[in-house]
Amino acid sequence: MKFTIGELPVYFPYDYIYPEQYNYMRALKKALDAKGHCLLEMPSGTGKTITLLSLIVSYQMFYPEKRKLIYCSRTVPEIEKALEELKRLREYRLKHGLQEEFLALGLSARKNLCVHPEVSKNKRGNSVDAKCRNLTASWIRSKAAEDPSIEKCDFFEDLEKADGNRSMPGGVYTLEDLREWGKSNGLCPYFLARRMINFANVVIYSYHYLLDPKVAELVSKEISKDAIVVFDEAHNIDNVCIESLSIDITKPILDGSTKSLNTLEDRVNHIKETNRGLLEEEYSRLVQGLRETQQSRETDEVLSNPVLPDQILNEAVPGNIRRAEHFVIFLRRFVEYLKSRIRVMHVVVEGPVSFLGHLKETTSIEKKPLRFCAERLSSLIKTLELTDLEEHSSLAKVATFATLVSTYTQGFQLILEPYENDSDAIPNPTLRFTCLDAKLAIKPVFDRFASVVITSGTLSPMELYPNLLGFQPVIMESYQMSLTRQQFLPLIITRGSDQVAVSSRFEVRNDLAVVRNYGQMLIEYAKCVPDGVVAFFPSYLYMESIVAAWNELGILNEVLKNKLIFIETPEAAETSLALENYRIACDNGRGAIMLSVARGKVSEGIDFDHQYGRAVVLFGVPYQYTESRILKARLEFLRDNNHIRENDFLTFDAMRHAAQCVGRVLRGKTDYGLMVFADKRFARADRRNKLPKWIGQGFTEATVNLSTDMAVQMAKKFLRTMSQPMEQSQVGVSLWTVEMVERREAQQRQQGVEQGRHLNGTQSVNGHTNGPVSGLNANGANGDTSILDDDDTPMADF
Amino acid sequence: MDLDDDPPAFAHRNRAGAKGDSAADVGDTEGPSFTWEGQFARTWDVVQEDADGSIAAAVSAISESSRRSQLRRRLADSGGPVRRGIVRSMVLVLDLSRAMAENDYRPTRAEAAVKVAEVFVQEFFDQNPLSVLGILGMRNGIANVISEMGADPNEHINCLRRGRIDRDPDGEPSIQNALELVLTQLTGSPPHSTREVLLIFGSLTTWDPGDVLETVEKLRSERVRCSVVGMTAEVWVCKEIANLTGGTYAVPISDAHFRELVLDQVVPPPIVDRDGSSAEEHVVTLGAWKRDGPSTASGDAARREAALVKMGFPKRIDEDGSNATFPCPVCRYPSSRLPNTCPSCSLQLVSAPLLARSYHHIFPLPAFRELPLGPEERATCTGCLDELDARKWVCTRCEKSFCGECDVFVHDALHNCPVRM
Repeated sequence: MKFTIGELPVYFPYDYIYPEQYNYMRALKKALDAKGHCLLEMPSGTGKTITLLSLIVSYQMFYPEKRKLIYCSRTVPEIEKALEELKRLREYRLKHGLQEEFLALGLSARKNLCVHPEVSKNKRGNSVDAKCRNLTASWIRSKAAEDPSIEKCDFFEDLEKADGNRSMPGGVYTLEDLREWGKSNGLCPYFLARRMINFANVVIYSYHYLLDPKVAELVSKEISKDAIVVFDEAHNIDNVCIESLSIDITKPILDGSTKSLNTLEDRVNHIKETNRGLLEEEYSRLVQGLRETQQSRETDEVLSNPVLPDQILNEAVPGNIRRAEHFVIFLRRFVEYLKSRIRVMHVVVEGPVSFLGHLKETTSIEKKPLRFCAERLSSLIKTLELTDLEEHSSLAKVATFATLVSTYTQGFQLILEPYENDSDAIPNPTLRFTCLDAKLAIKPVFDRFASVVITSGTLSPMELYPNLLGFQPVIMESYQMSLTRQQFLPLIITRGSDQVAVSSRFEVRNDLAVVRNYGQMLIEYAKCVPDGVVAFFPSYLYMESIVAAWNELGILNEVLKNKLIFIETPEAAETSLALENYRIACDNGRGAIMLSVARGKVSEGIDFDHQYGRAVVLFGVPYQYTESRILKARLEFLRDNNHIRENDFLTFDAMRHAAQCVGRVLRGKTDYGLMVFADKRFARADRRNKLPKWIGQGFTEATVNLSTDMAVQMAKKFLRTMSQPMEQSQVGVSLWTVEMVERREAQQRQQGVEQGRHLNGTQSVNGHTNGPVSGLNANGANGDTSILDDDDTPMADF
Repeated sequence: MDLDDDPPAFAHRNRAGAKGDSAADVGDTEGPSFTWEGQFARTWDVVQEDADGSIAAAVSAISESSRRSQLRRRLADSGGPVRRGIVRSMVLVLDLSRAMAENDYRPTRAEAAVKVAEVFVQEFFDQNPLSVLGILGMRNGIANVISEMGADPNEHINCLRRGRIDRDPDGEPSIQNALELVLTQLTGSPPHSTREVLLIFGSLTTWDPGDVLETVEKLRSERVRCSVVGMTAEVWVCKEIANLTGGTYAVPISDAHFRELVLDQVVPPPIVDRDGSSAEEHVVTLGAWKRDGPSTASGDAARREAALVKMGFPKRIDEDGSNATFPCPVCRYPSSRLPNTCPSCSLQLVSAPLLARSYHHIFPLPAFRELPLGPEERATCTGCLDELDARKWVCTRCEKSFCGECDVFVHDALHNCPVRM
């Protein structure tokens, strides 16, 4: 269907549109017009991806600026899915006679794109990377030019030759298409994709290409400033940011570093004898400063590197690490120092400043040369013509650590933990260098790009995100799902059938009564829910202990009469095997229960649609492990710098994970499922209100404080109702035709004045993001009421 | 019409109509169970107040829904004549697993299912006199024959009632084992008959020795149509089986709805061409057996004769007024009831009225027009002579008015407009 929003003609490749999709588009357009950032929440399964793509592509094509779209997703399957949608959209636009220059492609790791007959056989990403480098590194190629017996990659060579005078025909390339095209044209798809990024209208890739400083440097630095950046499924974006700047140093890493330092030393000595010129050349280059060749860095067009502040890159590398052998000795000293540090048998928590002080005292290593470690190491590896980077990954980690610790004094914390768990007897020391401030990694993105869209099915409570990430959204909205029938039933169970309150609170979680009541709940739901049930626990530890207790009580045997039981483990391969068999059991009617952990792999990326998930049971509130020192440090940091109280953040984090977990069950408008929150703490209104609006709308007075038996009765009734065929037509309620959209659009235009007021209101409050949270809360609430109005009126119209 | 006093054929004909029917049923089945033994039933959820606080609308909605089968039939009517198979071979599969001991249907699921099955058997032979039926039960992971394939409703009902099935549900059901057994049961069915399975499934899990969908493939190749009535919630594999074999899948929301869904299966399904097989296969020439000695026809005529479904129309012999017998016209073996398959020579024994009754599925009585009664208009129902209020239903052919209940009765039981009989 084709309709207009304002003056913008939008092509949408389906005959009907959901009301929430239309509202989403309007908000998105407003944000793009204002060249501002926005935060949008829309329930999963309402076609968020296609909504985003169809509006943004229409926007790109309509306005002369042709702003580029950078679409970031989390996993490869999600990238593929987005590309498929885009392809359909493109076909639809072509069908409507739009002849436009359009190129869209996905970028992924070499592992997913390589077409080289030998290299692509490798399963592991690292080995593909290493093999590829062995064939394509510049010094290998220059050597091969003299000695034809050295193997090269033909695909890459052809790409090099074709450079500049060949270009890809327009269109949408999925990863598969890209491989096919590369194969048939004899060009390397991976490097082709990397080069085409600058010409493409739409680029779809993983978060890391923008957030991880090392990768962003390589891939994303030349993207123009007015690009539109979308982070999809971004509810966890603050953690991604933090992880991309955090480093754990363990004993094996330090041992590995020593080993690779030995290799480097040998290599340096060898080169000294055979090819002195190489080292001399490097030396003089380093005198010039690390990056003098990259003039572009000075212009603000480039994504700045959060690891290395701009100014130091232009400085000359300090004298004491300029020579290769000196640098190796320097690093050796640093590694030995770290080794001595982690031998300590008690917990140490300190800031970077104190760490550097102690370092200087004992080894007289200065802050300045440390800063250059990462760059200096990569320069050395290049000079020494080493291709197997895998071998030196430990050392690279240590070097990155050295750079980070000497660069940032704020927002980081060093934590040395001698034992993995406090109860362990065997030491496994880890030096954790943790980033506490999510702003650091994402700041360059917000600074550089005009519009950043952060969207997900579960972003509530939304007020916290601008504060955590340090940006000012012009639009912040949450959409509900318009449904012809209530397709999901959220239930809060506060007590068992024997009226004993259930909770995963630490003090009571091992009470026999609580364990038994949780077990009884599982039995009851195994009995009354068909096909698949997913159960979530707050942690692996708790899951292990409660499953063991259930086994002793004979609860598991009772459950097995109705469902098979599968358990998620931290091991990825085991879990995917369990998932596969879980799916089979759901398909053939045996029925299955998946026991998993609220922060595990299952809770994030796996969909349990239709028969694979008819119910989600959340045993306890998925709070983080509050005794964790990293979490404590982060909470302290947030309190001091972002004015977020510890409890607010913990609840926010727990509720967004809870929402993620229960959101797994509903993946579309034909799907249905139960959402069971089994903890008395969920019943409290302040916690419940932190769930996304679209889940919150399902609660009634009767469903927020139930005992197991009542909840089972309601579940039975719900499942029976859902088993009835859909009688009502969805058109007009949850589906709109073109005419309905146009009528709505005309109406909106009349109300334009009012809308403007709303927009201004949002901006003015966001003027001081660093204000206390309560101020932001009020703002969020304002936004929300207007959304409610938006959603309620269309029903009356048609 | 010497069959009119044949008891099984005319019992229960008044099923969906009378309003008191479902209420009486509840009284029947509740048995000795006490209220406090029952589960927590939220009766107030069923009847909900409207905006004015009145429950009148809700009550009328409930009584309206009891007319649902009638309404549905009307919808089907509008499609014009549909080709249906009137010679049917059906296997009824009952779930008797542990899940059937639940008492969300009164008194238990198993009892409720068996009771509905009895009604179904009666109704099935009443409306499909040329068909055969068999009954299986699933328990303890295996399937058992409760009643062999046959055309005698009494036999089936006796098997259901008698100790042939242990009434105590136990163990787990296995759909795959049941369907495998169904296949062996249906092997002997003639090519012109439909092959159907009706699965009444109360459990939510099936313990199969292998992949049930492989067995479903076999069903498909044998052109067996499998319909499922679930008793608790939508089970994906059941839905899939029904979809793949062209059957229906439904889950009831109440006891009355359950009964209705099962009895919906009494109406023969429309014949659809599947997998390129022609519907012509189902067209049968019926021929009455004559005592002419062996056929002398050859060629085409012989082939036609081979495809002929031979039937005997026995005469009723009523010696002492209580034990009527129907001797087979071929071998003289006395049958006690009609329709039947002669136990000695396998001739299908029917009577003319029964045969005629089979046709109502093919030529259904057109739906009556529903009209509001004029403000001044006073009229009585042509059927029961009661006074009409508010609405009337008018026969499209004779233009006579009926009340709602008579309308249902005429369509569901008589299948003929009484005025034109």
